[in-house]
Amino acid sequence: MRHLIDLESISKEDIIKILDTAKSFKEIFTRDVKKVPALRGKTVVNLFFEASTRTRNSFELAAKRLSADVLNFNVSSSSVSKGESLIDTAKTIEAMASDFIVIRHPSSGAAKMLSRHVKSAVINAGDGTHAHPTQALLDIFTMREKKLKIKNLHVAIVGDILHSRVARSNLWGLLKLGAKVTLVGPPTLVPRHFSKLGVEISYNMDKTIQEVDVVNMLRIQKERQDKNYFPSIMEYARSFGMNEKRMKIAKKDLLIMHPGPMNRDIEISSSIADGPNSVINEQVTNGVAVRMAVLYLLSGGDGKFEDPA
Amino acid sequence: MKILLKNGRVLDPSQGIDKKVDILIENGTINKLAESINDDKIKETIDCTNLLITPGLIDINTHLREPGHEDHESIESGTMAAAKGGYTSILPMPDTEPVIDDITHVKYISATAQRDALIKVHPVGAISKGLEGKQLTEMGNMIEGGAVAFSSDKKAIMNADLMHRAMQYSKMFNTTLILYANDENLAGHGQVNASLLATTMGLSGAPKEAEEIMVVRDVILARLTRAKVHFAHLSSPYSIQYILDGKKKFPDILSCDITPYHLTLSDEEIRGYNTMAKIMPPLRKAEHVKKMVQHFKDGHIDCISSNHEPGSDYSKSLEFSEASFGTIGLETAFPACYTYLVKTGKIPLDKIIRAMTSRPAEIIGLKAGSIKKGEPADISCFNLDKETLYDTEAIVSKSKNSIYLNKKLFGFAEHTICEGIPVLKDGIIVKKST
Repeated sequence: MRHLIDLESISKEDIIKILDTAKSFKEIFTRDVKKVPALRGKTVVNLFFEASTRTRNSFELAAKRLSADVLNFNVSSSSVSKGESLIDTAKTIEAMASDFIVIRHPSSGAAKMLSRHVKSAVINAGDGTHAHPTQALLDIFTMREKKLKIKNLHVAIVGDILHSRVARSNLWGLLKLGAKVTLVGPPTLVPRHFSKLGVEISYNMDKTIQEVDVVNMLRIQKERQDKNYFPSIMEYARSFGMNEKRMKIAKKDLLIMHPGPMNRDIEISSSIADGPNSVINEQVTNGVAVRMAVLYLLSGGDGKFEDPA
Repeated sequence: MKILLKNGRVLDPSQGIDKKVDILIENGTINKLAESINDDKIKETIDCTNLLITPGLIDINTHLREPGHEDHESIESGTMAAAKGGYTSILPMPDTEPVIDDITHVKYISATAQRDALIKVHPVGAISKGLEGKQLTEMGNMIEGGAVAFSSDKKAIMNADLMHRAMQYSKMFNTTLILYANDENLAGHGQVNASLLATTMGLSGAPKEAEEIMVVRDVILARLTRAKVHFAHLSSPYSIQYILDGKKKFPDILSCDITPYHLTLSDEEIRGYNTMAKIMPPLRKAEHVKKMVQHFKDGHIDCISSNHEPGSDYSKSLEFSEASFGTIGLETAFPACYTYLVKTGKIPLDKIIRAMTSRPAEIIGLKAGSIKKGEPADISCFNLDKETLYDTEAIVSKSKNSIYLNKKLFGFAEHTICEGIPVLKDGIIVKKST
């Protein structure tokens, strides 16, 4: 593995290696000194063409806990369309002797394109509606930690699947590890093509919520209403939101996840988000561990991470 | 001036000729066709042994980018590319800057072609002012200026009332409307074929239904008005079905074409975010391409058009969503069809040649497309046995955005003769002497 572009193109074994490595890194977080020298002298560039605080912070912290130098390079996407191409920007960054480029970009395929033009290892932190592999890895890491296995686990991904890179990456990762996946949402937002990959498609949240072990609630964007993907936020929330009523008919140990940022009381009720079944904050913690694992493995680490102290 | 084409295999589907014949050209017209012509006074003899001689190809759908984007292509460079592809007549679309929507612009094209073009350029006017789909253009005036047909080009006319009027009005001149069938609302911002592949790649899809809906609408309007309607570069087998249905009752008013790449390549080409495969209408699924080949073989598709769309290297080096649409196609139209369709036994050679010569001539009403005594000497000679690597060095067009880039193809033109003048000789462009 030289780059991490998406989960579709990496093997099941690589996914498991990342999850196992992340587990070792997570143990460091309980110490007083939460830092290891694994990437000392290496440079990680966060190249963000889209505003994102949490993903960028997570990568920054992951790199710093591995003792790497971090450069945050923010480009507003408006200035991109006006002149400098992605490739030009990438060459500029490489001239600063980067070892890793973490890229977020509004255009699907941007990370792949970048990987063809640079020597640095490229980590996709979200490209258009294509992929967001580290988010999916941290979601799967969290499921694995709580449910102990992924095989035969029934996971529902709920919401705007059509525009979600998180959903796509979760889908590939979960399928590779043998989970059963159900995509839930209105037909306008759940591409029927996905059924060909062996996933279930459901338009009935009440039915699906009774069957699943994990539910991953995606953020619904109000702008989708303007394009008539659904007639109103209220109807969407009533049809697909995770609320107390649905909690009552769900399995007692249902794991509730959300990649953030949440629209409270729209796709998820406040009481549910803050309730005992929610692991939303743990996802954030796990995100750092997973990103440390990805950086470490791409730098040539063998996956058998041992205490360097 | 006399030119003799000797020992070639002449294939002219318009007359059902396929045999070894010598051709004598005199003063720009075809003077004689005979088994063996020998004449000491002939200054120039072109040895056509092992070459395929056809009527000069005719392209019903080209983009030359002049005026406005001469950095991508010009009338001169575009006709050079056409000559390289064995074309002697082309119809450039009106989507230039400014749009070809009045007589002065038509005359500009004609005058520039007179000066710069290696082959015949027949201007196509816009159906609506600025291709905006709001107001009809002065078709009568433009015809007087030399326009041979009218088109909506890449901007479908979404307003059915305007389309209806355009068809009614065009009947006054018995001219052909070349339509791009695309429901812009349904196609949305679609960049590739709507499919599982597009969905997993996170690319928005333009469903083939966006094409079919407009084909159905315009077949209905053509039946109502009896206007001559030609559907450009179709991609869906269902579109062909609907046209076929319309043709049953009105065989003389409806026609359509397809590009070589929609006959030979599927949407698999977009894998890895290959921007060269970003084309409108999109490349479709392999099973649909197969059906299009069958439709072509069955004679349901009239013509093959190049849909030559020059674009800069830069515009194709951008992120997929930002990259430009289209591929150049004049130089590879026949070689691609020959290599992937004829050589593989999918389609007989004469059907390909007819769709690139006499059929487009009939639809537009051009005096071209067959090798007959007294006709203009528009002739092409192809080498079917030689395999050529089509790399950037080989490209004549100013733009290098070819979907067939770095492919090895058979059947490139050796000689192209337009009105008796060799414009391509031994595979090399003969520049216009000024």
